[in-house]
Amino acid sequence: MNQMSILTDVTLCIGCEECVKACKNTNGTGEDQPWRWQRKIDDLSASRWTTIVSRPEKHYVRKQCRHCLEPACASVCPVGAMHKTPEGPVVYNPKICMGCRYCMMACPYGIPRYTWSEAVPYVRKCIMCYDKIKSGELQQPACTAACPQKATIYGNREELLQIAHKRIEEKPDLYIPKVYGEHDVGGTSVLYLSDVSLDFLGLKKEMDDKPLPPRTWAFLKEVPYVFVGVGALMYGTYWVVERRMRLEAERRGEPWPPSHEKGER
Amino acid sequence: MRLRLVKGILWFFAGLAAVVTVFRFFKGLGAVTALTDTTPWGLWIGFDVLGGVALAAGGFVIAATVYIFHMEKYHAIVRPAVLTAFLGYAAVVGGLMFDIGIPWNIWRPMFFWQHHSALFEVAWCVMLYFTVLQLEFAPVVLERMKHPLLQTIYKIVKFSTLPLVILGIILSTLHQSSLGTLFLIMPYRVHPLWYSPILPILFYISAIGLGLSMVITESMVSTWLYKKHLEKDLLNGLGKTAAWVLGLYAFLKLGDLAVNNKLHYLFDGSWESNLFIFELLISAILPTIMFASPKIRQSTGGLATAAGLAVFGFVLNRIDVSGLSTIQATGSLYFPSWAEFAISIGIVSAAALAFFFFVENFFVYEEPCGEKAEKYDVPVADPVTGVRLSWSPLANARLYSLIFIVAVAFGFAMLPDYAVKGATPEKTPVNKARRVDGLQAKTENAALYSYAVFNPERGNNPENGEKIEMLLIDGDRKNKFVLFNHEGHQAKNGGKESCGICHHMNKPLDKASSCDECHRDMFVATDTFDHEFHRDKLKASGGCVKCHKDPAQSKNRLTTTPCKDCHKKMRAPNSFVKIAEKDQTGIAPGYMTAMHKLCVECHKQKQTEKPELAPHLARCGACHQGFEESMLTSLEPYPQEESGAL
Amino acid sequence: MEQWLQWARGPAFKFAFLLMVLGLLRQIILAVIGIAQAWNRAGDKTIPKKVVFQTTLQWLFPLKKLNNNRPAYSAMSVIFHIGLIFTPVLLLPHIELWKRGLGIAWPSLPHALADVFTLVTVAAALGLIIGRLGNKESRRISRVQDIALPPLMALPFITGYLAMHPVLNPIGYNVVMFIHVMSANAIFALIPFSKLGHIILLPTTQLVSELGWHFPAASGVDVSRTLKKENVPI
Repeated sequence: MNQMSILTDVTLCIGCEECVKACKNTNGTGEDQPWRWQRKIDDLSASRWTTIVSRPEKHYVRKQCRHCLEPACASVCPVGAMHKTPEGPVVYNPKICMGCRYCMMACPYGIPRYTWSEAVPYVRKCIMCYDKIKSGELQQPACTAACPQKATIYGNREELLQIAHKRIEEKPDLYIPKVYGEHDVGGTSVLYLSDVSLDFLGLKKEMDDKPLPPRTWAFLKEVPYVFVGVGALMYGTYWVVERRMRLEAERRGEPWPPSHEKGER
Repeated sequence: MRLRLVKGILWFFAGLAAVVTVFRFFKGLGAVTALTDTTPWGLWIGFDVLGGVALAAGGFVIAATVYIFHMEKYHAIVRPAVLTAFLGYAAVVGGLMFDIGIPWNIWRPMFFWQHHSALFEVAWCVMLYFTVLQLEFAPVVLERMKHPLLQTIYKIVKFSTLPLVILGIILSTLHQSSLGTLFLIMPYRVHPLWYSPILPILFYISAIGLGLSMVITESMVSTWLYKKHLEKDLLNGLGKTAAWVLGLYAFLKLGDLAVNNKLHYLFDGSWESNLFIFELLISAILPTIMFASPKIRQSTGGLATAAGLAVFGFVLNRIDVSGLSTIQATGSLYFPSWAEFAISIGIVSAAALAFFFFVENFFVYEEPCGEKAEKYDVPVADPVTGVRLSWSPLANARLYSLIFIVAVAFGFAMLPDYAVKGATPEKTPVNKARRVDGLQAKTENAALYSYAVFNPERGNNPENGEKIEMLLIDGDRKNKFVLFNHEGHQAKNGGKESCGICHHMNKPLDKASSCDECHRDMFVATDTFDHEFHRDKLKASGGCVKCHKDPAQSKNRLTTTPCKDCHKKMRAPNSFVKIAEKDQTGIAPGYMTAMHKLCVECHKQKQTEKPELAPHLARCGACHQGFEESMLTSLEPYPQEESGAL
Repeated sequence: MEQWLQWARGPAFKFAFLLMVLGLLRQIILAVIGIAQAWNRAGDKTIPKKVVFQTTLQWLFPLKKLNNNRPAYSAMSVIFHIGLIFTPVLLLPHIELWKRGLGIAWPSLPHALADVFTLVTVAAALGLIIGRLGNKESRRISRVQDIALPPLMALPFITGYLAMHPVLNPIGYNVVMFIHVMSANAIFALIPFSKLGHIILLPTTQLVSELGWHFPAASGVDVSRTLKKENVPI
């Protein structure tokens, strides 16, 4: 797997919000405003694709889209407006989006935001500067480039995982011995190293390592069989019941089918 | 009379919905609904779409009973059931057009295939089934058309009844269950009591039970409205079947909890557990018991109660799964705006009016019924005035159109400003900065100080730093605050004489008004001008003309003498305070903008002057700090939100 | 009082104004359908376009009507109508409201002239009521709305004048403005449902009064059937 990823080390973050500023400038998301539909002005929003969450004891956690390896948002989108690129980022195509907001419901981290104030609204979330990196305009996402502490870095997922594990090995007392995102909900492209628990980033404190899309697929893969099965069952029932009734009518010497079924009024 | 009353009420709701519709499409979802980023699906999905599809399940259930199982006695209710289903799906599609953000893209799933999505499958099935329902219902309309082409179509459609019915059953089976599949991907959002790996099966079975209950309800309502004979025998049979289906549903639901070791959630006393028990009681258990008893089934009241409970209970179930059960995960309380209710009720009202239209003009029941029949009555003259009181085609139109326009005007008057003009950012009043005891300590890199709120529990240890008085600036009481060393800034800038660098000093006798007096909102510009005050003050020296120089001109900001013409000393020389020009008279920018402009400008300047001393001076983190419980013990802490997820 | 004034200018005004617009639209549609039905039934299918046009014009510019049996009363009525139309429409504060609400504006009446117009209109309203109640015949044919509407129409003029002249105002600006706005709201709301509807419905009224009297084709048969004398030769 040669996916590009981001590794954020919570112990290094000083909460300066340079990443937020860089993201805003690069993606032209506009100014934050206190809208009814968001909790806090400095929470993720349609104009703020990454943000810093302050945790007790001067811990700062950068929040952004996790770019899951098996993203629920991409799996539920009925038109494929959300999709996972082979390079890693989960990107969004506003041109075909119909605005059902299923992706917002399905994301286990509650990441996608909506431009509710617009008459023609779209979904907004971090796309890891996919378009700008692809076109060569940027070498790496604006946020990682802007970090003065190198607390959030960009690279190949395998390499970043190696770096992360090495850091844990070097300072086992400092870190929680786990790379957040290595296995969570099937693994994510945004990884975290931390000395405080990052459970709060997800919808539930305990989320298991199984990816989400297979839960739906377990039923959806049966659709063709249900189609044929129910059809056959219904026609079979019709045939059996009809035959029995016809024989019954013939035995009694009544006409078949009964007159009212011919559809004449 | 009762029909006219019911129709009048329905037209009223249709009118309310009509006016909301305009603003929904011109001003967007944010302006009209109460939906938020944490609750992106609301009443329109829970009630209109999930509830609507389930309510319309009667169509395929009755079609199967009659055409597959050959239970001929139910033939009389096939047409009303199919009509209900057809209009139900029309309402669902209508509701979806309101709910989805870009309704003109609703056809996209036809061309952009994504077969891993349950919603993709639902979209296809609903689309196909809606077509099937149209074809199933088409004979009712076509049989009255005399055009030979239409007659040919009528014969073809009539001939293909059986394949259509079977296709309808297949499609219904698929999408009724797939609506449950929608939620399988949200194990962390949906409460464990409602989340189940067999959700699709539960949705399917409950749809059949609800379909039967809805057919009973709908028969009883139209019997009451059109004063027809109640086909008790039929409803009795339907009720008996419903008892089996609902019983199976209740059994599966409880069995699922038991198998997945979730029974303890049932009695943990949380409001979810109470809601779940309530829902299960009224949707399945009570109706099962009532439908199972032949005595209750025979009584009109019993039948109506049981069917009504089931209908209400299952609609509640859909709302629970899609909404109420997600509150524990998101912690976000969503209550629909009245505009959302207006659309939901309005769509149902429109569907009901369409139902009446078909019932009155086509052979849905044995013959067209209702008001139309009165047309053939002999006109009767009023004995006093001599006015003819006969049925007139315009009499009803007059009444209903009057009700409709009153509802539209009423709805328009009741719509809040943000729905009419489009969503606007919320108001965030500014709180005064507080004086606190702070600690000031030199940081490792020379000239910078680090500040913290003084904590008496830790004592006045000189190692920690020096105890000084500081300002805790936390205007919206939510964000990261700024500890501001007022005295330090004053001293650096040249003592008392330097106030003018940062303060306006524009009020007489007031040398340094605090910032929040004029910058009253965190993010939005506010009006600082006090008209009453100036009017009273200026009464003696000429009154209105003092500012409104030309009485012939209209009185507004643009035609009025600007503040700074009188208040010449709005800012001292060398001041960092900048005042916008004439058209901004009396308007103060938001608190955050004002503070940032004032502080950051100066910090930036300092940073370029002496980069070696203060490399981070202009960064956010240089001033903003997060709250920590430990340092706030001497202060009243603000409630902090625990979940950072949403 | 401040909040009540806000309410009168906000929701109450929106309701009244939209009700007026939709109500008039509804009346026009219903009138057109009614006329079409009358025309379909009528034995005589000619539409007297010329007559309708002429009578409408005559009512719009009622110079001829001045010369009937009560010239003073008629003149008063004409003055009243001129005041009713021009004063509110050409008043500067009202134009400001239009500008703020819909962004449209037009030239305004000079201040002093507007005052004169207002007083003349109020006087004419007074004269109309006296003329109606003072005459026995006209008192007898008057409906409630005929007597109640002129004072209601005068009310916004009186209160508007008081609001513009604080010196003469005995009860405070906000109260006067509240009465001003609410009486105007009442007028808006009543327009489609009272004789005030002639503001817009004048041509349809003429059409109805011309066409409505055409006897339905074969209406004699209906009459004889109702009288149960179908087989009796007429």
